[in-house]
Amino acid sequence: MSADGIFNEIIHAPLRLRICGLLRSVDELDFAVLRDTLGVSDATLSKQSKALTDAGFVSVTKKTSASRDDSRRITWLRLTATGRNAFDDHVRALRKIAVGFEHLDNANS
Amino acid sequence: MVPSGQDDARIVAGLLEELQADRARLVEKVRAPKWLAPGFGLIAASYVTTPAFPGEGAGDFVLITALVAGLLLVALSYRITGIKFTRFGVQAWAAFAAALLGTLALFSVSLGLAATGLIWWIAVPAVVAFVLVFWLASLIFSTMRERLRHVR
Repeated sequence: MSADGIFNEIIHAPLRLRICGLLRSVDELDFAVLRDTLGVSDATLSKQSKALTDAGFVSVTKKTSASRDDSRRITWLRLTATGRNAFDDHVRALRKIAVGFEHLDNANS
Repeated sequence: MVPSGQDDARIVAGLLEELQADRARLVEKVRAPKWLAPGFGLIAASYVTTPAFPGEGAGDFVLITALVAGLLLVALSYRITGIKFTRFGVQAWAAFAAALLGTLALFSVSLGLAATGLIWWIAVPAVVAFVLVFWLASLIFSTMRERLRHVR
């Protein structure tokens, strides 16, 4: 962990950042809830979450649901410990950049 | 590439705001299942009524059933809301402790009523337990829901 944060190229892609941002606030999130909250398609979310999974930042668990008669599975997504640290570092790095912008903005006004 | 210019910083500020907006949207979407708080209320009320049923093992049976039912309610609410909350928070822990202590206090009132033969009066602490735990369970859920907004 770094006080200034560490910029992470994988997380920085806008949708991936939003996925991590939502997963950071919970223990696990259902794929459908995540998709609806972000307002994206299944395919888009699958693609981006796969990139995060491949990087070891997100883990995926599939569980059968008795409440669903079509035998579909509930897919739970969660940030791994590595993912949490990387996201926290990345957000710190972003905040540092944004604070610099606010200082500049205040100086100009 | 790491953003560095003033325009980049403006974009970064926008990204951070979007994270907050996503969380606010998630909070708006999360609704406690209607049966959740009444379910916990019923569990507490049934535990408080056990002194009305004499017989060895009745108390243990109700206690174990109540614990299993409580865990089932939590698991089912996860499935329905699609969210597993990560942290309880001080306020939710305080409400949980109040529910536990309140139920135990009302249980001891029931024991006293049963010992003095006032079996039907046990309905009073049972109703109080239902209302108390119903209210505290609703409070715990809304507290945890609001905490979603205030994560890093």
